[in-house]
Amino acid sequence: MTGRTAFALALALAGTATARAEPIDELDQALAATTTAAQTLDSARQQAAAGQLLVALASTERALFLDRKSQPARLLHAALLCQLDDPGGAAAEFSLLRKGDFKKADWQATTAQCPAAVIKGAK
Amino acid sequence: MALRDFIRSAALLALSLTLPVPALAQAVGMASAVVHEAKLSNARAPAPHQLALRERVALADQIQTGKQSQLQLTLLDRSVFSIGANARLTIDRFVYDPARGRSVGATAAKGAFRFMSGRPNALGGSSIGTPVATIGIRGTIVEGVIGQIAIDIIKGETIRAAAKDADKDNATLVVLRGPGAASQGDAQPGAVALASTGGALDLTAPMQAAFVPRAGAAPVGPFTISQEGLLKLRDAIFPDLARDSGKTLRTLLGVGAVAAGMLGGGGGSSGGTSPNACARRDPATGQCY
Repeated sequence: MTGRTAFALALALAGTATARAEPIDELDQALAATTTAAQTLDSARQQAAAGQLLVALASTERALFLDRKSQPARLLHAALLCQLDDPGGAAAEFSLLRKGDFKKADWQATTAQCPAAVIKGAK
Repeated sequence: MALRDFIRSAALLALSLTLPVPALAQAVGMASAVVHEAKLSNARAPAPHQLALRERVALADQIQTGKQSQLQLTLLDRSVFSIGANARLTIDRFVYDPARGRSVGATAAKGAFRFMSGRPNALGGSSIGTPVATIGIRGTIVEGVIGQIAIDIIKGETIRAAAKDADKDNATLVVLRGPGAASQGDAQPGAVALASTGGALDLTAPMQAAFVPRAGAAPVGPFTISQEGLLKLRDAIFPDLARDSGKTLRTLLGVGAVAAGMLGGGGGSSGGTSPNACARRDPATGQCY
């Protein structure tokens, strides 16, 4: 093995090491990309649209940690429980919401997905 | 530099860059959201320090929250623990293969928690130990609470007799939250196997719950938790959210109490109940039961 070959091998191996993202770094990057409630809620909506409902629920919960007054996050949280077939939990969440706090279209779009929970819970 | 020395140096460089740096402890997740006080301690750093956002958490780290505090911990497989005020949690076991799944083992010694499974799993179940029970988890959302709050919730449920002689420090309430059989998306229906030294039972549908009153007692249930019971549990896991929810407080206090200005609005002295009408106020969350 020549010196040049050895050096190339070293660089190649080093490159392999740096290119391989560790799960902890992926998680860190994902969290760093969503530092506000609005960003986290956007991420939750995308996850929900992709069918990743548990991940979306966790993101919605995080959005509420970041902004406990976020009514859109509360509405999405209730809707996700409905989609996860937790009608009792969804009804409990809807019982804490007021229709008047939301845009009419947002409320209608959400409640259309889980009418039973809304009837039981929402005011 | 002689060729042999150069090759040796290059090989050492490659080795140092490719091998993982020996870590002090294997990180299994990180603090994804922190509200108020959440402290971490471990054998390497026994003095508890405040958890920073995105701070890494390792196996055997002890996490403890303070008054009116809450913490969300996200694990590498995107499983999520949320814990409420005055809670204590340790991740004891974490096996994760992105291609196959994960197995999580944790101990919840105090307080209220919610656990949501992460990515689809083929490796096996996860489990959470409490002082009086073990909760076996299969792809699910499960909530639990340990201690006096569990007893207070049970007092409003159909199995209220089980609250008698319950251990105020260790009694454990467990609620399966889903996903249900008709769940959409990528979620699989969840289930919980609850075991104590006195017996075992399964929870298989959302809102099913069980209560272990004390060490050695068999789990009582399954029973369907009431909406009010569920909201009390929610407030224990997310006290910061509860404080902001007038309606939640109205649920807990009773409508008349709100009319008396208990939420700080003042005015209105008729028809209300005085703040002292609370049967018990939780010292950690300020909630009234």
